Amino acid sequence: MIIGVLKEIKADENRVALSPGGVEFMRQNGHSILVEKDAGKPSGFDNGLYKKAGAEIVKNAESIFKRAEMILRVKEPQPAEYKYLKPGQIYFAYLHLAASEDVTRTMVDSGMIGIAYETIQMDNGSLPLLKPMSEVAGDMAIQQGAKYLEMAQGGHGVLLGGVPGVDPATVVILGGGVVGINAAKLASGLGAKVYILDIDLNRLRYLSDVMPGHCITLMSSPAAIRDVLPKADVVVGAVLVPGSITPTLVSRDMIKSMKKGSVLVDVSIDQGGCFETSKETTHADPTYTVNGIIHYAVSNMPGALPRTSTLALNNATLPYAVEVANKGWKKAMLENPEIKRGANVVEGKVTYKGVADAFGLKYVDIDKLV
Amino acid sequence: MIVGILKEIKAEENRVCMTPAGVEVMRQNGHEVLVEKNAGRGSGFQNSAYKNAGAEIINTPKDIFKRADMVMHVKEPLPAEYDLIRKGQIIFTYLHLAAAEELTRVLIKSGSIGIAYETIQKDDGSLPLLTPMSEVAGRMAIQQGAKYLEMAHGGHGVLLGGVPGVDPGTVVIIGGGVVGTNAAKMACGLGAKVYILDMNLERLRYLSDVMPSNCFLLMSKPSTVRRLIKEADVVVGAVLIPGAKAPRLITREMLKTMKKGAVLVDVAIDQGGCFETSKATTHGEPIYEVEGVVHYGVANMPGAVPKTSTLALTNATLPYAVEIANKGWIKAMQQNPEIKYGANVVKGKVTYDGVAEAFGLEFTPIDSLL
Repeated sequence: MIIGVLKEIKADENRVALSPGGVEFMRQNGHSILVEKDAGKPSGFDNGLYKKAGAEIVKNAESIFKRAEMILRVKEPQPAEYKYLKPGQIYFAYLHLAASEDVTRTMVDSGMIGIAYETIQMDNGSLPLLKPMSEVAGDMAIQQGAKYLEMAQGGHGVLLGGVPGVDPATVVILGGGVVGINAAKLASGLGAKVYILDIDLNRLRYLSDVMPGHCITLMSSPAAIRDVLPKADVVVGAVLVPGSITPTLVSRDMIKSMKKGSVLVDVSIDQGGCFETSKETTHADPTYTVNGIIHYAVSNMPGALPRTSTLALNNATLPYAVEVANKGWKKAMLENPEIKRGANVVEGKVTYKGVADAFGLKYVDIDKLV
Repeated sequence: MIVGILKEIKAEENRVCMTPAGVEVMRQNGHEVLVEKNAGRGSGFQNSAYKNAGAEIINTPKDIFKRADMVMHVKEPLPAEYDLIRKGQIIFTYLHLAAAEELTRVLIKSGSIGIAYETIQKDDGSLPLLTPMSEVAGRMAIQQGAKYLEMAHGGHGVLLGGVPGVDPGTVVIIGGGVVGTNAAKMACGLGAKVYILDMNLERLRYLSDVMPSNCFLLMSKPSTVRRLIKEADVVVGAVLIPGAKAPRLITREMLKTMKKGAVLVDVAIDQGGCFETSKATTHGEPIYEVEGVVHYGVANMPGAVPKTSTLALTNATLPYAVEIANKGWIKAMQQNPEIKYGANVVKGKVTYDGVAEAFGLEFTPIDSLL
């Protein structure tokens, strides 16, 4: 199969969908790889590395769309590219179609096969292509919290880990999933006092087994959150309810009980955020203040660390991309239900219920098309 | 004794030299404490907290200099205060006289007793009133490294701790003293690959005993530095030769071999810095780039986290302040050699040889004045 790797053109997006290591692996599986010029540059992979791994460097996106049978991308197609989309071509990327009617209708009209990273799902319900980015975002949340606690950044001037003889900061993490556990690991590693709140008692038991002693697990409830917020120097919103809007766990009133100069990091912002006062920000202008509390709510946190994020994402996406390339999309979906769950738009039909519902479009079961 | 606590007026200095808890201890020891209005504000201590602890709130520094037997500060007196210093008055603060000829001459002329935090020394050679700030700076160094590795801040986009399946960042720490050890603890806690370089084999052995297994100890040699900085994502300069200029361990030539977008944090900047390309920066504008490598060289790092720094500093200074207040400076110096080392300028004589040498002044051994 001919596989095209496009350069990302969305703002603040520095990742790339396939590393030179991935190109080599694809070549070993007998595929041809076209890589758009400079696609890997922000992630530290220059054109020479791709060439060495066996890719052909192609000057523009147009000729990649023209020649490739499968397009690999991090983000969804951008308006300038709509005219290149064509029937039967596979587009494998984060699509987030439920959030964009425009992209959905364009992909339906084009007759292409849109497979979404974010809906590929294992039998146990986990989302393997969201996980690596949640890991990065969870780690980053603590780095951001530490940074904005500095007085020059608006914080109240507390060092997360304290020093011998001085109380460390208190970090409250709402949600004990992938984001939460990674945030907790970092915060614990820095020596902060850490509270993780979750509503799944079994998950709390697991966390209590694996986390160090200064990481305290709490059953989440409005009362528990109210109780712990006044102590917090950093609060991380790490709640995800897959495919739906995040519940508001911290109201504007509750925020008033917090210390001035403490920091909220809302990793759930992509899903609407779990603080009533959250609104989306960018890496260029990441914070704002409400009631003296600093809010950090950058929607694409891993974009700030493209090297780590690209490698983490590639590690997870590559096996699926190879399987789709080796078998073709139909056979891959027939044999691997995880890939089938990734089908969002196929040959003019919407095959993911959430997307069809969002825009009142007709839903077609993917089983009828494979 | 009447003890005066002055508000800091130097730019970016938000610490305060005594907390309300310190005031309480002073009161228990029978001393009167005058606190300048809003002196504790930057560190989160309101005037009322000082009042409750038994202090008298004073509106101007002038009245404090007029009434107090011992004046305490964090930073050296600034020109606006020069005329207020009285004969026989104890000035207990960071003085850094070897870098300040004008202040040295002012103190000599005033006939006051200048006791410097930074030269108080234990029998084993350690500097107990520099240690807490080195702890803060060391721990902060890693937070800065992590922050500036983000692409939006000029870094090459690597997450220090990596994520499962992706290589973590490499942190090279030059100097295994207090700064270096604290930096290493934080970097290890984040999950980075950490190298500490030091020239003292005994110290390396100790560090090898107490640090986690992701911390590698190496004997420092130019060849080792040359080899490791090529791999480094963050380099921390943590070399201190007490009272002397820091050695230049990384030259401009060596910088060229480093990864573009790596970060240098020079904690030795107060002492001139240990990278050839280092220059002092401020919290307002902390970084600049040379050869594509981000340089962080803020001279007063602990100032960014005044709450933690104030507590850490006052934990260390208070016992000395109480001893001086209880016994008077002569008896305190006679009975406690650590305090005697702190004597810099006494009754018009320079009693610290480093200061006398720096400006060609006559050195008078403190023992002849006690």
